[in-house]
Amino acid sequence: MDADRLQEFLTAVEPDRGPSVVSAEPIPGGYSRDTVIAEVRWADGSTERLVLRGDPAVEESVFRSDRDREWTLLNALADVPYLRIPRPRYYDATGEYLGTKCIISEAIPTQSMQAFLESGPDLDKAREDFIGIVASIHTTPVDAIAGTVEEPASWDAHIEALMGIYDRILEKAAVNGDSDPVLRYVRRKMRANRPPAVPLGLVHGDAQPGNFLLPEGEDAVIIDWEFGHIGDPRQDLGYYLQIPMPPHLYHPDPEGFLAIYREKTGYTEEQVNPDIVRYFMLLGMVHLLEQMIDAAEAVARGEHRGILGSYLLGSITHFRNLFLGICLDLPYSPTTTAQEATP
Amino acid sequence: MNIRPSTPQVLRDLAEELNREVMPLLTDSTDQIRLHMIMAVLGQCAVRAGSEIDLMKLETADYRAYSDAVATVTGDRAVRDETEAIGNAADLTLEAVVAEYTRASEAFATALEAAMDAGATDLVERGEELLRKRIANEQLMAEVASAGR
Repeated sequence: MDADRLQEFLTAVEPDRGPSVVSAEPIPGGYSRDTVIAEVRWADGSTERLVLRGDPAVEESVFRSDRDREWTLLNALADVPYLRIPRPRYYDATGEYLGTKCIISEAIPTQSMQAFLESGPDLDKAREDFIGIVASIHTTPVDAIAGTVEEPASWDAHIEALMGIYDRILEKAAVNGDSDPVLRYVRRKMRANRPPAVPLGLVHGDAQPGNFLLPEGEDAVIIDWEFGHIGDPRQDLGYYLQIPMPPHLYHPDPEGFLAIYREKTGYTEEQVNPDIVRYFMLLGMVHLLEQMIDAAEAVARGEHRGILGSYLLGSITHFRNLFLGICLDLPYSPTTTAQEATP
Repeated sequence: MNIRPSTPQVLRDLAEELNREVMPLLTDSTDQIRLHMIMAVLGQCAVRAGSEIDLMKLETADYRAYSDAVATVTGDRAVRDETEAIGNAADLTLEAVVAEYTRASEAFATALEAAMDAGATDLVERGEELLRKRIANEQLMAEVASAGR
């Protein structure tokens, strides 16, 4: 995804606009996708900044997501009037030009909410703004993106699919000659304490202040939709609990945070309370845990996954610990049959 | 056999070399982050090399005793079979210890589920304590020791 490749790509897709790539610089630090920021001058003298998001080489990556799916979702979300995302501009769907499947979107020249939070703002106001952004995602009518991404048949089917990730992790462990008593226990307790249902909604999949951009005087812009899907919006709340970067907007006052969230979304206290949100960390984070465990297993097989494959071993332990802590506090039902608990 | 320096000491020395001699040569922040990660992993390997066999043997003994207790109290046949399958190998090669640890872990997981099914509160609590201990050991293994310092 360098300047020469981008030049070739833009020349192919915008032959009449006379693109000239002025710069293309990698943005370091991302765990998931390779990102580049580029400046382009068009023949009419105008300039434009673009962000390129592409897949790292398979043998050097841990986290996997589908660029075709993300491109489809972005184009659907771009037309939702009350949700702002960087406008998707181009897609190299085969990697023919940019060397990897690559989505190109408009660049938003501003800081993230995470950077803003680190500047010492009024945290009560920041919390309300953060919740407002999250609620704007969760109250997006599913109809607005229906048909563009897969839609679960029902809430039950969706939750079952998420819980099924635990089955998959444990089955793979067994095949690979491993055993995971912690996740077996987590699965057991999780299934015995199914939460109340809510209507399916839009889930961001990585909802955190680092993915919310704050242009001065404008609506927030939500980026990084690679794990966006239709699901249970509480997955995003559970996911946010484990975000380590301070200042955290939930942990100092969970009840206060959720009261605002309920007011903005219409959920009831039975549906959204601190216990339910903790539970949803089990479901909002497990897809990434699976990918970390898969990478660890790849390393065990002698396949290189970049330094992250080994580095994230500590994160696997971290999440096992968090999940265990949540499940130790859940009741277990002595009358639950083995068949119900372990499908 | 060379025992000084030990394997953990060698790994820590490699991390030190990377920090002193290689890190200053790197100007790209992505490369610097990558090298920090490598040094952290070397530090974790130093911790693991020093104690993973001992910890696995200790946990295996705990899981064997627990599974045996659950099998006795509940009469669960699967738990009894998995407990007997653990074995008690004298072989201390890493491969043998890992294999025994995996069998013990599986027996433990099955036993804890059986204890929950039976409503055996004391055994459930004892099993939960073993899970806490297992995670504590994992955390010890993931410790970033003194890599690069």
